[in-house]
Amino acid sequence: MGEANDIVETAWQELPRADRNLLKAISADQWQVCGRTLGAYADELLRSAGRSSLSSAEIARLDDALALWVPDLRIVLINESHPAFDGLDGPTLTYDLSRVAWHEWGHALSIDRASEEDVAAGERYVDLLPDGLARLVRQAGYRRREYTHEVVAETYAILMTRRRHGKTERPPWLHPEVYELVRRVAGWNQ
Amino acid sequence: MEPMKLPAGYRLPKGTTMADVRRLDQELLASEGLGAQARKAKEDRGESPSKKK
Repeated sequence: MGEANDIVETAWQELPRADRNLLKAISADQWQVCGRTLGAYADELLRSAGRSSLSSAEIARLDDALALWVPDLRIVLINESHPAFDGLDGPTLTYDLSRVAWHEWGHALSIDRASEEDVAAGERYVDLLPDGLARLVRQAGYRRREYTHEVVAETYAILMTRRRHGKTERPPWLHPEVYELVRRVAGWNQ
Repeated sequence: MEPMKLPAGYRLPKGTTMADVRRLDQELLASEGLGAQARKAKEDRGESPSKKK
């Protein structure tokens, strides 16, 4: 757990300062690395905070997740015992956990800051993604109203990966409308 | 009370692994000359940095 938490802490520190400040401003700067299926765990946390329980269908759906943003608790949860992280060497685990954490912080920004029009345009934004990314979003079983948040979160995670190579401007493979969405919603302003 | 916002998760399509996600990332980065794939392609073409003038 310690190693995974250190990786997520480093991923947090790698965020541009303005993005960290934005996440702090919306109270999205807390995370927990755990070894639990996340639907059941999020449900426990919500109930212990006096919130409504999740439906059993929703719990089952979220149990597959590698990580979650829980808006009502303002926390990112990461399941380090998810089979997707099994047997990885150090650098690969670092890459994967960092990418997942960046995705969730992108989620947090998008869910708080995307407009109703942005959410309604989700299918169009998915259409504008490179094919492989669009396939990931379409085939993972997200609801249509989650598409815009997934587009922002995935794009944000890859922009952060790319930032490690010193590149911060719009990638040539990213449609300008998607880049503008991420700039507007996630505050990406590099 | 405001209705609860459902948690938003990072899920992979059935049959997709994080290795597939990494491969996709690397392809995107390589398309603009970044990352390990691009480095390898340059090396294969004899364009390693050490051979540049």
